[in-house]
Formats: sequence, structure tokens, C-alpha cells
Amino acid sequence: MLNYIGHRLLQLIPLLIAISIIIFVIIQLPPGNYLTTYIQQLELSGTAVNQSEVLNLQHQYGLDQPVYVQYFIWMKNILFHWDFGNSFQWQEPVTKVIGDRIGLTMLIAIFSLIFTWVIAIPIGIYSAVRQYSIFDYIFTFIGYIGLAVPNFLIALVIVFYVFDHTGLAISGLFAPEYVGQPWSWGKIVSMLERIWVPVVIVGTAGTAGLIRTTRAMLLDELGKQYVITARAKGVAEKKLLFKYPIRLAINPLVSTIGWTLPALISGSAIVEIVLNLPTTGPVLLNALMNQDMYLAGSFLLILSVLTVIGTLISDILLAWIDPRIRFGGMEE
Amino acid sequence: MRMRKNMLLILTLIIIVSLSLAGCGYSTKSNASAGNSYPNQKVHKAQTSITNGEVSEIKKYYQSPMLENKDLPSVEKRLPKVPKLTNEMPEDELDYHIGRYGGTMNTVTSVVDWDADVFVMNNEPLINTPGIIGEKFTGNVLEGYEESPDHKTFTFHLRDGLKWSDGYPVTMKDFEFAINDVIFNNELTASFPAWLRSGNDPQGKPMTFKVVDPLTFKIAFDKPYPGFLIQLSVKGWRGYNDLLKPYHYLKKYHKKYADQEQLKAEMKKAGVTDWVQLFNKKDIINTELTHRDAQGFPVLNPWMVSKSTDTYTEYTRNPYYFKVDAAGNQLPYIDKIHSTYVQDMEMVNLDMVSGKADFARESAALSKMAMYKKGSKNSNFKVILAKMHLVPTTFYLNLTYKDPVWRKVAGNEKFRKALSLAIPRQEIIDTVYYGLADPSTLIKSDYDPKEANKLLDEMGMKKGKDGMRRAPDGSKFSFTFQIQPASPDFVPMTEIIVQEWRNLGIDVTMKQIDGALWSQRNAANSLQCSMMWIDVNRWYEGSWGQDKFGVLWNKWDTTDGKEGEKPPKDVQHLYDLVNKLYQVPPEEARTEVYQQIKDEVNKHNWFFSPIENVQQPVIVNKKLGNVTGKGYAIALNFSGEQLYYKK
Amino acid sequence: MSTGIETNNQPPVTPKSVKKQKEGYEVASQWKLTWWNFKKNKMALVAAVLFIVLIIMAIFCSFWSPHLPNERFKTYKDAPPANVHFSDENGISRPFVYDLQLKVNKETFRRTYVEDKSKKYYLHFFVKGGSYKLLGIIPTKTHFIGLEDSTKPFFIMGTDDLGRDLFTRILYGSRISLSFAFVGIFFTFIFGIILGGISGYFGGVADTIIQRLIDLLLSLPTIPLWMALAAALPSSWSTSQTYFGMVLILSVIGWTGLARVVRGQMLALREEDFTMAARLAGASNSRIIFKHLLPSMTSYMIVNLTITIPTMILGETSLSFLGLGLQAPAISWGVLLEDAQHLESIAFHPWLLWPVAFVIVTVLIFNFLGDGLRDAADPYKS
Repeated sequence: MLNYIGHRLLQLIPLLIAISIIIFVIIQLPPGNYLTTYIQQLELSGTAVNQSEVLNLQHQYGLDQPVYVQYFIWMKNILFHWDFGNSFQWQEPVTKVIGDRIGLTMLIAIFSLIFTWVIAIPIGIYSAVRQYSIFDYIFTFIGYIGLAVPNFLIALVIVFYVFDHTGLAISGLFAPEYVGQPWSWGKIVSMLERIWVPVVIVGTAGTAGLIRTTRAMLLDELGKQYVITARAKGVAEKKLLFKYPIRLAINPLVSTIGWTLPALISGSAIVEIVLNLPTTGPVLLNALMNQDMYLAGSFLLILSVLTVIGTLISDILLAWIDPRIRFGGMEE
Repeated sequence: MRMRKNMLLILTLIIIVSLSLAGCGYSTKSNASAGNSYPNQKVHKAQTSITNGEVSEIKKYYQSPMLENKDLPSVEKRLPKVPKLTNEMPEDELDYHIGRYGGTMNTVTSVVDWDADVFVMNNEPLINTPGIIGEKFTGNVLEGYEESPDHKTFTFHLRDGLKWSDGYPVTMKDFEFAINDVIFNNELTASFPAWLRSGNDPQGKPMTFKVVDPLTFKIAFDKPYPGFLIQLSVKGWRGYNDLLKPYHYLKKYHKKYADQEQLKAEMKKAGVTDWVQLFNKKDIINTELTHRDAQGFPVLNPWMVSKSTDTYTEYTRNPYYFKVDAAGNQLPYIDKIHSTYVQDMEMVNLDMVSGKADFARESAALSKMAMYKKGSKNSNFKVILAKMHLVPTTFYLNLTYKDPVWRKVAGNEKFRKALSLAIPRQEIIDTVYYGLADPSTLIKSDYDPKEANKLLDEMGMKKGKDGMRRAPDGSKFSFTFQIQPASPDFVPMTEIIVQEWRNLGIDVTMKQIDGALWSQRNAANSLQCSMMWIDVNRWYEGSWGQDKFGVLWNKWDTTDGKEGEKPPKDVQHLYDLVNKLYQVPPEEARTEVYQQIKDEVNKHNWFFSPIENVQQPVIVNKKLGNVTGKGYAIALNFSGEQLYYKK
Repeated sequence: MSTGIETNNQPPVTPKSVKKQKEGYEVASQWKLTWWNFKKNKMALVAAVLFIVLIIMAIFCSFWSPHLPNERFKTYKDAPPANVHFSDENGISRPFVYDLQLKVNKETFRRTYVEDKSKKYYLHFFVKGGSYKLLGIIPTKTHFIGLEDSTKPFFIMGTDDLGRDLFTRILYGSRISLSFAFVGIFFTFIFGIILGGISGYFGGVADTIIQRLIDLLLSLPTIPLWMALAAALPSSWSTSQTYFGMVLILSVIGWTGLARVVRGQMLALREEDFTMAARLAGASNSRIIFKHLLPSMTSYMIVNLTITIPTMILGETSLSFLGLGLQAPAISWGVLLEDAQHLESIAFHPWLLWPVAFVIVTVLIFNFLGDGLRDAADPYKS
């Protein structure tokens, strides 16, 4: 077992190096660089930018150096100084840009996750237990609608209807008077008034998958010998259901929480853009589209490291539970 | 059950942690409430004529109540000896009212650290031209100027007692520093800008600069350059910043003045490797004045960045601002600007229609007029329509695209005339501009597909089996119309035109590409047909699509024949005329030369500018005073310091 | 949940069919068993029927649509959906529409239409309209439904700001949206199955390399890739060609999720008795994979397929939102939805949201189909 873990950890080093190189290269694949976008934006608003200023900016941002030099500087700073570079757009260290937003991002992610669970698991259980009943169809239908509607559009429609009826623009996470204010009871209430929109939209998008998994797992469990035996022995149906099958069916879901987090952090960026939420998704998207390379690169690198470690942990856990996998790689 | 309890515990913990994390970004305090005017303030009487008064007649100066009880010198000491009496708009465009102090103006932007509305409001050129018309020139940051009769030498006078926003006096050293140590330093300025060379000519001789006395300096050229005045005023929104920099603030970052040890320490602190990088980082140029690192940088603008967060930027009044109104009130009237960053353009507009913006021009579009009207019915804003400072859509065929067949066809004036005849201007105006524009007078604006077909037939462009025309030599003829969706009118307009051209049998397809890619392709001469707006309304902009309809010719012109191709005679003539705009006195340039250019464009059809006189909606708070719809919409921004909240 | 619980082999709603089924249960072929099981899920059955309708709609879109997709009706811009009347002053009549008259309000800047009751146009089947090529080959002018005079206003779902018939555009859009999703999925599957299969069946070095390759590909940012590809593909390519090229190239990196699952299944299956038996009987590796292992995974793969297609369709709409996917003049659901993303569309021209209905229905169809197939896939389990 230790051997296996050691083996995997060793593989991690070249993998992470390769990932960092590929990310850095791909971010710079689109034509031009951050300055191209920046200067174009200035020119579009009628501002004169002379050649000398362009050269200065290039030098200031270090964009006049070859890509490989930029890469080594980036890596050196991360490894030796724990410095992930500065964002061109925000003129701030990458860690600050991300750090400022990670709290609210997690909050929305967790609320959405809870929302998804609250909706999806009961529906999943019901539709497994009462397979093909009329309510099975109705609930499943409702559960799937969230997946089927393009998220950003539903966000726009909700925002519009709230505006149409109340005259309020509910974009952002706080009412204008609380923006930039320290936390207070009013601010929390103001946030709760608005946070439901992203939570519901992001949450409903995930219900379909969860309903399907819960339903499938429960159906599998219900078909198993021990359930039939229990029923034959006269265990009450309610008890029968809650004693083992549901718990067993939910278990694998719990174990996946760990590595769904990276996905949630970058996840529903487009909805967050439409709703103008101060979260990380839009920042990443914006950085990618504008080639804000240190922000995009460092952000992606952090996400990749999280994903790779998540995979590693789940692989190790699997190997621990199921020896076939552990030796699978070395048998032949 | 135990498992569930544990889970609950973990979840609550995570929520608490993230709540507290979320709080970290928002720990500082601010007071961002809009329109909090001072209810008991007295409106002072004008001490001199509002429209053409004399500063000398103003005996007493007043300041915003916000500045009372602050640890500041008195307002008389903060103002220069001769402050500027504001006149940002011509009298026939604005009926100026003495305003009241106070309030916060809310704006919305969709770009991080950049708000075009605030940028223009904050713009302070050395010389001004009221209403951005380019007809009259007055002092601004500088008190005044004299032009030698041969138009070669300009003498400028500094306002005595003018101060930076940190209270330091503006002196000749600041000009010397900006000019001798920055512009003429080839480490900091790798290529000397054309507008500071004789006659705005990229090959012209650089200007010479001489300090006469502590309040006077001279700039001279070896050839007449009367257009220098317009360059100093509004052209390119360059502000005062190129020729005037705060020496007292920047000297510690300049190799020539700084102590070597200190410079090294500063470089290390800023995380840069050479002093040029350091200086450029610390020197906040005009376009960077909305950036978060502009905080603390001394300026001469009405407002300065006082706070910058993830979601908004706050600007606070400059207590040393040099303008006053006829009643002796130091401007600006409005104390603060609160610029909210909204990521999506549609949501920017939602903020506008729900009354969250007190002023919005840059993001306002004609296509949203019905929405603005709907929103303004029970909200605190109104929509005004003013003149747009540019022509929002113009098509170009790149006549220097590297394909001999294309050059032959597109180079034929008949072909261009035919394409122009197939543009349904009235339909475009009705559909895309809601009837709020006129057909262009710049080129012939008839819609006559029959005549267009006839012209194409005459050229020998016969239709093939597929109904598409071939080139006169019988080869296949097709091209791509590549646009970047820079503005909401681009796509529908192109769709209409492409379809009309296809009806003529021209095999053209439309393609949308990313903005950065578009610029790059345009510079690389690889666009065949494209669209961009054009600045032909104001005589001094001199932008006649030169870099779009003949990319290689333009390159030849700007590199003095080192790159590109020699332009044909008629195009060279256009270039000469455009240069002439700055080489003859403004009154001649804006009438005769401007008209000659228009005639040339009309004759040769180098580009298609189907519409003109387009109107631009501006959203303004109903209580905002000194607002007018008579001039250019952007001139309202430019005169931002005159805006005030009515009672 | 108080009463007894039926397990999945005893559905409560269709006791009769169950009884019938039981009769031939032992002798039925696998396909038959699958079908029987599939039928039990009524939602899936409905979805299957709609699926066929959808496919026919997309293939013959030019026939079903009353107009041509790029035809501009200059006098009917932003016209609302047609109000089809079934009765006139004389009582019941054959279906007809009135002409529309534009009213522009100078104060509110709104365009509205009123019916001009003096002009009446009857609906007809198989009318002559704009000419097109059916399936891209047969030139014809016949449209399934429309008015005698095809220049008159009959817009089932209204028109857009340039006066183009939205219903027609949605039908044409379904062709591109669906076909691109299918093509993308096809290539993803080929790669996923081959690489996942190799990884799972052979294990060893191949497995390690493929697994780490997956880790690597998973970390690739797709947005800059899209932007780079959009720039790298020849600029003479049309928008749809470019997009098609990008779909193809991206499916080359999009196979990772599937490969992972295939690998897992392979790992489990190769330890099963039947694999062991085949191996002992001297079957070659390829025979074991193609004859024994892959068929036992078909059900799973079909399900995965039906569930992944909707994500491709939704993905296309989000890419259009970012200005990275298909764009006008190409016609797809994502492109049409770009028009619906404006506040003024939702406020004044809500019919521009019709493409969403098609997206929703399509996504639901594929999901319910997937569920039905999943339930039916393992007929021997019960």
C-alpha cells in the first residue's frame, strides 16, 4: 500500500510540471496578449495611445520577454516566494484577487449544494421507491427542468421580472447601501434576499444528475438479497428503507463532496456574470478572455492541483478498499 | 444518524468559515449614499457675467461644505491667483446656472478599473476648446497662450499659484521634468510621438522647449504647426499629462534624480528589475487615472481616485482644483463619483434603467431607447438625445489586400459605387437607429440595386451557374466580411448589407471575430472587408479610415516608405490634405481643408459611411443641472465639473 | 411512504403488461426484453416519440418552415406571433390571419402592430413560397404550411428585429445545433472507448500513461483554446465551418470523463467469470474486448451518450453568450438565443425566447430517453 502511494506521489511531480507548462502555453495561444486587448479598448473609446506608451507598457508588464523566460519567472516566484504574480487587470496580487472572492464563492457553492441535495435526494428516493408512478414522472420532470434551461438566460429573466415588478435591479449580492460596508445584520438580510437567485439557478442545474444517481443506486440496493430477506422477515417497509438502502445509496455521494469543490469554485461563471456576483468564476473567465495571464495561469494551476490531489486521494481510497485496483497496474 | 449529525456539523462549520472569509474583503468603511446635498446651503449670486465674465471681478471664493473643518488652507490659498472661470460649453448650447454643492454621482461601467464616462469627465487638457468643437481656444490648465504669426512658436503661461491635488505648487520644473527627462529621454520614450513633431508629421523634426521665466515657457517647431493647439486641447483625450508631470512625486523614481540605493530599494519593493519599469509603474499616465494604483498620485483633475474595491471605485473632489464659476464657487459642484463595476453589459443597462446611474453615456445605446423610456417613467432619471461625436458604423474594403484579382475588382471605382448603391440606408436607419439618423451626405446615398447591377455588368462581372458573379477575368470572386461585435449595431447592419450585396450576385459572407484578433488582422493587412466607426464629424480628428481601406499604403506613409506600398496619387492627395489640417490655421482647416477632404471621399468612395447625424442617448438624473442635449453628448461628460444636483 | 414498497420488477402502474411479459420471458431475445422494460417508463416512451419527431423536423426543416431563414420582411420587423383566427363574423371559418399594420410610438420608442381587419389571408398546406433545395438536392418551392402570398405576415413565432421569421430560423437552427452535438459526441466516444478500454484492459504502463494524460487534459483551460482555435483556423472558413472544426478538435480532448468510466467498467468486467472462461478457451485479447467486454457495456454507453448530448447543446448556447461559439450569420439555437439575451427582448419581444422552449424540450427528451434506456438496459437483472 505504501509502495502504491509512493509510486503515485512520484508520478505527481512530472505531472504538475507538465500541467503548469501546458496551462501557461495555452493561455497565451490566442492571438495578441493582454496589452492588445487593453490598447484596443482605449482606442475604441477614442483615446490616443502612442507607440512609446505601448512599448513602455510591454516592458512594465514583462511582456517583451520570450515566453519561456516569463514561464520560469512565474514558476520561480511561486516555488521560492509563494508569489503567484500580479493581475494585469486588477493591478493586485493574484492571491488577493482570488482571496477577496473565495468566501462568497464558497458560500454560494455550499448553499447551492445543499439546495441541490434537499431537492434531488428526496425526489431520487421517491422515484426509486415508486418507480413509474405519476408523481415519479412529475417530480423527475421538475428535477430535470433546471438542467434543461440555459442558466444565464433564466437568471436574466428572473432579474428582469423582479425589476419589472419592483423597479429594483437585484444584480450583485447586496443592496447598494450595503456595498463596501462591514458586515451587519442588515447586510446579511440584504444578502439573503438576493442570494436565493444564484442558489436556485445553480442548484437546480445540478439536481438532474443527483436525482439520477440516487435513483439508480437505490434501485440497485432495493434489488439486493438483504432487502428481500428483510422484507420476508416482516420488517416494516419504512424501517426497511431507512435502515440500510438509503444510507448506502447516499454514501457514494458524500464521498464525492471533496472533489466537487474545485468545480464549484470555477463552475457557474456565466450565471455569476449575469447576476454580477463578486465571486471567482467571472474573474477567471474574464482573465482568460483578456489574457490576464498570471491571474488565469495561477488560478488554473491552483484548481488543477486541487483536482489532481482530489483524484489521488480518491484513487488511494479506492485502492485501499479494492485491492484489485492496487495490483491491477502491476499484474501483467 | 450519527453520520448525519457529523455532516451537519461540518456544513455549519464551512458556512461560518466562508462567511467570515467573505467578510474580510469588506472590512473598510465608506459612505456611498447618492445625492446627499447640503440642504441649508446658500446659492451664491454671480459676481460677474456667467457667460463671458472676468475672473478679476470675483471678490470672494466659496468652497464645498465637505471641505469645511478639514485641515486645509483657505480656498483662496488653494486656488491659483487667476482661477479658470468655467466655460466648458458654448453659450448657445448651454444655459449655465450657478450650481449647488454636494452629492455623489453614480456611474456604471463594465470594465475593471476603467470608466469611460468618468475618464472623460476627469479629463483636463492644457488648452480647451468649448463644446469640443475646435472653433475657439481658451486657457485651461494653462492660463493662456500666444501664437507667433508664422505659427511656429507658441508661448504658454502657467497659472500663478496652481497646485497639485496634494497641495504642492505646479512649477516650471514639472514641465521641464515631463519634457526633458521623460519625453526626450529615449529610455522612457522609445519613439518620439508624431504630434510633438513639426506639422504632426511622423518624419517632422521634434519640438524644442524653452523656459522663459517661472511662469512662461515656449515650444517651437521648424515648420508652421497651428494645429498644435487642437492637439493640446481635445484631440485623443490626452489631457495635460504628457507635458506636465508632478516632479516632486516622481523624482524619487527617476534615475537622474534619485539616490541609487533608494532607487534599488524602491525597485525591490515594487517587484521590478529596472528603473524604467519602476518609473512607468509609478507614473500614472492620463489613461490610467481611473486605475486603482492612481490613488495618491498628484493630479489637476476635478476628482481623484480615493478608493477602489472589487465592485466599485470612488472618486473624491480635488480640493486644489483650479476652476470656479461666476459666483466664485470652486468647482466641481459634486463631491464624489461612485463608479460601480458590473460585469455584463446587459446588467449595466439594467442598472441604468432602474435608476442606479446618475449619468451614463458610454454604455447607452439607441437599441435600448424603449427600455430607458419604460424605466424612466417611474424613476429618478430622464433620457436626453444629443449629437453623437462619431459615425458609429462605416464599412471598408481593404484596397491593398494581397490578392491581385481582389485588388483589380475592389480598386475599380465602379465596383465600389455599385456596392454603395446597394446599401438600403433608410431601412438601416429605421431598423438599427430607430429613425434617429440621416442618410450620409459624405457619399452619394441613393438606393438603386438596378443601377448597381448595371455597373457590375459593365465591369464584366458575369454571373456563374450558381448565380454569383465572377471576376472580370472569369475567375471565382468571393470575400469575407469580418467584423468584431464592438457595438450592438454592427451585427444587424452587416447582416442587412451582406444580404443586399449577395442579391447583386457578390459572393460575400459575414464572419464575427474577437476584437483583439480583428485589430491584429487589420494591422497585418489580412482583412478584406470590415467595419468600424469613424471620427469624421469633427474636423480635427483627421481619421478618414486611412489605416483600414488601404492598410499597406498607410504603413508606407507612417514609416516614410520603409514598409508597405506607395499609395496611388489620389490616396496620397488625401494624406496630404489630412496633414494640412494641422499645418494651416484652425479656421482655415475646419472650413476649407475639411471640405476638400469630404469632396475627395465623395469622389472616390474609399469607404462606405451610410449614415450621419446619429443621435446618442444619455441617461441623466432628473435633478442634474447644467445638462443640455444641444451639443455633442460626450461634451456633457467633458464638462462634468459643471454638473450639480438641483434642490 | 406508508404503504408497501414495490421493487422495480413489480411496477404498480402496469400490472397487465407485466403479466403478459412474464409469459415469454424465458425465451425472449435480449432486445425484446430491453424493449419490454423500456416500455414501462412512460416518460421515456413519450421522449422516444418526440425524439423521432425532432429528428424529422431537423432533417426536413426547409420543408416544414413557412419561409426562408434569411428572408427579411421589411414591413414586419419585430412582429408578434401570428394570431390565427378560426372564425370570422360569419361564424366558423377555415383558419386565416389578418394583415398587420405597424404603429410606431415616438414617445415610448416602441413598435407595435395592429391587425388590419380589412385584409384577410387563409392558411394553406403545401403552398408555394421561396425556393430551396430539399435535403440540399431537390430544388422545390413547396412549403408545408403558409399563405398563398408568401410575402404576407404569417409568422408562427413572430419575427426578429430584421423582420425574419423566427419559427423558420428555429427549425433551421435545430439542424445545426443537433448535428454538431452528434458529431462532437461521436468523436468523443470513439476516443473515450478506445483509450479507456486500453487503459482498463491492459493496465500496466499503458494504464499509467493514459491515466496521467487524462489528469493533464482535465486541467486544460478550454476558453483560451477556443479563442486560439478561432484565430488559427483559416479566416476564409465560414462561421459554421470554423465552429465545426473546433468541435472536432475539442472532442479530441473531451473524451477523458468517458474514458475514466470505461476503464473502471473494464477493470471490473475483466475479473468476471465469463472473461476468465473466454480467456481459458483461448480467445484473443481483441476477441475478448469486442465480443465480450464491449457488448456488456453498450447499455452504459448508450445511456452516457443520451445524457451527454444535451450538455453539448447547452454548451453551445453558453459559448454563444460569451461570443465564442457559433455566431450570426450561422443559424443555431445558441445564435438565436443571443437575440433573446437583451432586456428589451424580454420586455417587449418575449417571443424571441421561443428557441429556449426547443432547447428545454430537447434536453428533456434526451434525459428521459437516457433514463428509460438505463432502466431497460439490464433486462436480466430482475
